[in-house]
Amino acid sequence: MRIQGFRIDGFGRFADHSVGPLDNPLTLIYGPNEAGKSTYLAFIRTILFGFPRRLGHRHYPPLSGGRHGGSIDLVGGDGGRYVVHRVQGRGAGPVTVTGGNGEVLDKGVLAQLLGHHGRDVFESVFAFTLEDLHSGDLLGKSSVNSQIYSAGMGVTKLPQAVKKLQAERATLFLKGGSVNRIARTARKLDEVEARLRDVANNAVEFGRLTTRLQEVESRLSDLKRVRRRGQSRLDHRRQLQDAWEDWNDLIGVDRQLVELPVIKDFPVDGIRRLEALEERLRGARREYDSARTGVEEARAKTTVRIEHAAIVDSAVEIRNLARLRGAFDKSVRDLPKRQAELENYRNDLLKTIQELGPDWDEQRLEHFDLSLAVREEISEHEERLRRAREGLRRSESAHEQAEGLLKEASQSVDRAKKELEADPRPEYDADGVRRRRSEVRRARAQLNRYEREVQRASDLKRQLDGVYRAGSPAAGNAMMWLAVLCAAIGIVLAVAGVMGGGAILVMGVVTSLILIALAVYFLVRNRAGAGTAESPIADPIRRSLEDARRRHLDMRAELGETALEMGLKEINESVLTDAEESLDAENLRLAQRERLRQVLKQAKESMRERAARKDEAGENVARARARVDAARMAWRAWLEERSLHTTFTPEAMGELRGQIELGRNRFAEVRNWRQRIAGIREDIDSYAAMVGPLASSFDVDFDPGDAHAVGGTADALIDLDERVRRKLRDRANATTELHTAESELKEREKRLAAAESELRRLLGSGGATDAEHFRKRAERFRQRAELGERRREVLSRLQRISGPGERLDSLMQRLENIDLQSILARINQVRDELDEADKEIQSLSTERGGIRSDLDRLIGEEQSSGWRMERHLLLEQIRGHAREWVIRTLVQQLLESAQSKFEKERQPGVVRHAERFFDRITGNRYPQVYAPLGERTIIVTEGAGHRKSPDELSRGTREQLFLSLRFGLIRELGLRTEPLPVVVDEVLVNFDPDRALRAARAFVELSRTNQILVFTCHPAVVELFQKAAGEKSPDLIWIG
Amino acid sequence: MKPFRFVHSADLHLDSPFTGLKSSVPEHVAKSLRQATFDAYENIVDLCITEGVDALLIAGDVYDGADRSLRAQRRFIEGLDRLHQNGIRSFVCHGNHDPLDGWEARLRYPPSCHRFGSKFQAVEVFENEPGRAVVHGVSYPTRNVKRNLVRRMGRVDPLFFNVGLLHANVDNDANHLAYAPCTLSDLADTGVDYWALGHVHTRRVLNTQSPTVVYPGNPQGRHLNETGARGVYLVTVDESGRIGLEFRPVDTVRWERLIVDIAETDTEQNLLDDLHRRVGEALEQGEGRSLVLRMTLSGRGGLHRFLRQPGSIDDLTDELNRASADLHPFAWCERIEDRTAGPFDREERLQGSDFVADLLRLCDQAKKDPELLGKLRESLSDLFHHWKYRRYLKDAVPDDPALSGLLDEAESMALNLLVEDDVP
Repeated sequence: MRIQGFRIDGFGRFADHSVGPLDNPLTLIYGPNEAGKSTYLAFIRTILFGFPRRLGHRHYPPLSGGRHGGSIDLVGGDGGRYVVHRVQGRGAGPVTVTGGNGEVLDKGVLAQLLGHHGRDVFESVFAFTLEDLHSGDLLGKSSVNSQIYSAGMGVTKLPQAVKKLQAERATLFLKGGSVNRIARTARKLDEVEARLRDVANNAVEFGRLTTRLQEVESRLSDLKRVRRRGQSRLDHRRQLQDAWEDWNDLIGVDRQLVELPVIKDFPVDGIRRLEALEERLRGARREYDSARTGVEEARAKTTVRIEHAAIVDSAVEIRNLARLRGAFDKSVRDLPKRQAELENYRNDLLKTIQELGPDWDEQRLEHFDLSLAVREEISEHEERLRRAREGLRRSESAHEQAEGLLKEASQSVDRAKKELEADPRPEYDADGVRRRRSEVRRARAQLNRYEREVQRASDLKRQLDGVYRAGSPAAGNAMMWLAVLCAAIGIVLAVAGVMGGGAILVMGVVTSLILIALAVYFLVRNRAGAGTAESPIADPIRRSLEDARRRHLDMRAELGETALEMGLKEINESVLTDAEESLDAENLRLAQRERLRQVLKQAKESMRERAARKDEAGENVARARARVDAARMAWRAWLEERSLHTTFTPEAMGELRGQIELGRNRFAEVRNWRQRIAGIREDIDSYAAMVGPLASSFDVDFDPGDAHAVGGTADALIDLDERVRRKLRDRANATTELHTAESELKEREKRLAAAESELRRLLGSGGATDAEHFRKRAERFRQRAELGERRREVLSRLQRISGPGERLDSLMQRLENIDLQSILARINQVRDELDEADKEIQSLSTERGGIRSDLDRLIGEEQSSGWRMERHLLLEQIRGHAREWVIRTLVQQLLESAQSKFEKERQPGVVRHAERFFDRITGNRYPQVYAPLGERTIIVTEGAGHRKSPDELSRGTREQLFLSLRFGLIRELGLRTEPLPVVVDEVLVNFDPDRALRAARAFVELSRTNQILVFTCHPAVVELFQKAAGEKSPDLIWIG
Repeated sequence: MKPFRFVHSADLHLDSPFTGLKSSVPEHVAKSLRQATFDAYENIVDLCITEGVDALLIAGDVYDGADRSLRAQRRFIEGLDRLHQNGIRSFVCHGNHDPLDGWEARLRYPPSCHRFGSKFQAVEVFENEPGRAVVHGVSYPTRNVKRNLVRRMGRVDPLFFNVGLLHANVDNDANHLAYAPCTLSDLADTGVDYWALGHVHTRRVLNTQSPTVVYPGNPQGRHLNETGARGVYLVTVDESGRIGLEFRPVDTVRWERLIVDIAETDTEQNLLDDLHRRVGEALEQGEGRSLVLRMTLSGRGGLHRFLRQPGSIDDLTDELNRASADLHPFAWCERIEDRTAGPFDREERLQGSDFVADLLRLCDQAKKDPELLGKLRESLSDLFHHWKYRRYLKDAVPDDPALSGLLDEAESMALNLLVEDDVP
């Protein structure tokens, strides 16, 4: 496969850029630094193998625009043509492969064209740079050989991969290690299993506890039986103990009852009833005495005498006096205040009338028309005047604005005129500029033809010089030396033959004759060469040179004529460039002048339009003024009709209306206050008329002229009426009290008699003659009753202890036959027995509780479930780790086996090819290269048999070795798959000139099978390859 | 005959742990998993009481005797007590995991429960109605019962409705150990109307009638091979002796395996979204059960490289569980398996002549060449024969098919290590 050309849509500094066709098997792409050679190389790698996934759009972004990517034209091994197009996008970037007829092909075709090699193989072996060749990783490190092999195997990551695998395996499992994951997990498993063993022991413990529980429960059952019997005995003894005290009590009560006399009947609750009756009798006597005193006091109050009792007959008048008393005082107090306020209102009214004018009085004030119709008329006049004035203001403003615009337009016209006058006139008009430019272009074409002819003449001259140098005396000298040498050897051989004699003589003579003949030939040849000073090809070159010189002179004459026509002294590159620049400046001046003319024209047009607008605005102002005058006249007529001053404006009418309304309000206030003062005076006079007659009837002082004295007289009358009425009420009440006290006295006499009678009956019922006797009998009766109750209680308690009926009798009988000491002794004995049983029961119950608790704990323990789950979890984890370790171990084994196999089966072919290239490049200095199996290193052998590893070689030689290895790989791979193009970037710069030439020849040789693209910025490298290629001169593409 | 109903269950394996979990489980999930076998058993008892059945039949492997779990036995008897209090009889036979000579706590069984001994017994279901229905059962005297127990059973009275209760491997099921092996014809020859079997953990109806032979499966799945709904059979026998079967799920936590293809997934976030979506769907279909999930990523795509980075799968698992493990019901992803491949055309590269092509050819050769396979196996002996770890790894030593599968993964890992950005 070879690259026919490529087109960059957008990649690095290139956009819409094509290279090709690349027909030659060896193409040199030459350009200075930063011309884009590395970009070309990256472009080829990217289109064929995709954008790096990690860099994506950042991989040589299209700095000059265009879509990121492009296409490469390929020619397959079968001669078919293909176009591979790829742009940046998802993954490595979408790629399309089209055939020679534009049909889209399967992507597998690209893999086929690339010999099924991956990116790593292509970049390591087929497309490499100087950096790849002398990568720092290759120098002085232990992994040098692996790197070389990796490059050869197309796997650059093999050493890192092996290292990573080893590290990961050690993390998972390392024989003898204790910190790897499997060891850690196994330790946890050991712990969990130990715990699970403990749980299994729990089952044994469960059985032991179950047996002990049964024993304990059996013993507890026996003890409870024993305890029940002991408790029964104890209860029996305690019954006697409990009854002992009651039994003794019963005997004592019976003895006291015999000693007390018998009182068969006695009033119930006699003492309390006696004391209550005695208290009741004392209270009845105290109440009777109090009632007698009350009767006497009431009788004295009914006989009192009362003065002016007749005033109660004038009750209506006195009530009226009292009712109106407050109003009278208020009227007397208010009268002076109201009079002063009336005076103030009157003053305000007079002031308002004066402000309205001399022709105004209260009469006109009250009757002036301020109706709604009048107010609307005023508003209409006001609105009419406002509108007329507003119209006038707007018209005047528009007129003023039109004047300003007209003035600006006039100024613009003046400015445009001045600028046009100030602008210099161009040398040419537009047609003149076009004609002049055409002349300059024609002159430049003539100049180019003239310069090419000069170059051609110069080249012919150099060729002719070369021909002359080839026929120089140096060659003749060489011939002469050969002739002398042959002659000398012939003479020596002839002398030797003569001396040897025989066959040797014949051979010596013949050989010497041949050599002498050769010497004669060289002499003749030398002379003939010296006689022909010129080569046969010199003549046509000289004729071409003459023709070139002739055309040169003709063209120079034509240039002179053209200069005259254009008005120039001569025609050269500088003069023509000046003329073109001058024409560009002339064009600018023409455009500027045209622009100024347009500006002046527009300014004049604008000024005309604005003058017309100003005249129209003046007419509008005159019409608005007429409307204002008409409105003023109408208003004046309205004022005169209402006898108002003609200086009033409609706006001032509002103020006048306010004054009139204020005056009317004040007039209404004055009238109101006058009426209220008259009313007050009337109230005072009528009250004095009511007081006068009453004062004379009951001897009270009265002065009708003094308002304050009238009030005092009224108060004295009201007070007298009240006092008389109170005395009358007191006398009537005393009579009623007397009747009540007399009837109460009678009632209390009855109650006293009833109490005395009841006391007598109580004493009689108790068999007593007096109260003291009654109390003694009551005490004896109480003592006897208490002893009887106590006896019943004791018997009841004894029955509760023994049970009813015969059992009580039995108990009494047993009590008679025993003493307390014996009872207590037996109780203590049984109690001790019970305590012992209780202690054992308590102990066994505690043990049973503990056993049950342990059993519950053992049955209820849930941790074992968790540990079993944990065990399975850890087992699964350790198996998982083992699986990961197995996979990595298998990977390592596979890689090692594959590497070993590769070394055995492929590497010898690679090394064989590499050896041949390295031998040639180093000028047979290192004839042997080999890779000892198992050692994984490259060894080179010098001609003298001395072996060297790559580390022992100089930098240049090491690069030559690695270059040779790549050549070997290319050859070896080419035997099996499609030969791919080889793209190299500056790989010869560290080689000496001789080895560089040899390396270039190696490339030329490789170009027979693989297309070669060489990137360089060194002219020497170009010449080197041209020299190495000889007749099959390589194509040279210049970029930059 | 009078109709009657009973519940047929088996293989309760009370208090036995969930196996195959790889990632550590948060406490609330662990608690649910530990409790799951008990909860399933409680659901069986509830079902019996709710449906008012006449009896519960349990065909062996009530608990794992080797675990010596007191808790399991106590909880088992508590359930039987509840049945007794509700007037429901229970019949239990013991299997290879809880044989009669195994360890057992001395706990009191309720009087309505009958546990079969090491010889076939016939027990009336209705003590007051002799001959209405009879249960014939036998327990394993020891763990390793390799003889055909069915042949030791005598003929039954054909006038009764006869139920057989047995823990056995019928017709030599290769997925289960051959305890008490027998054939379907052995069972048919006994004259039993309904064979209530245990031992096989996946529910199966081996014969629908004459006799009806049923494995109900275990009521609670405990590992990845026990996915889907788990439960018991509610068996109805009508007046004419016809048998009706109704499966009732009683499990509380379900195992599910989900396979997610990454071919169309381009970012890690999209992958996580896909996983969340699939978990949500699984929960919706889980009938309100909590789930233990194993997710397998498959397909060929660009995410393969991300998934192969150390820690990526663990991070994905953690992220997934962070969102769904706290739900109620929860979904706990116990692991994510990576079975993906990179966007790498293997056939294409096999045609090349570079190292990668040689490596691929070597992988292919290793799977076919016993000598090479043996050599690779030998390289693993350091771990699997290690004195300290071999007892934990004895079940994990890969056989030939497993090694072949591991070679595929090894090849995938090798390619990841060696090849990058290599797609034309």
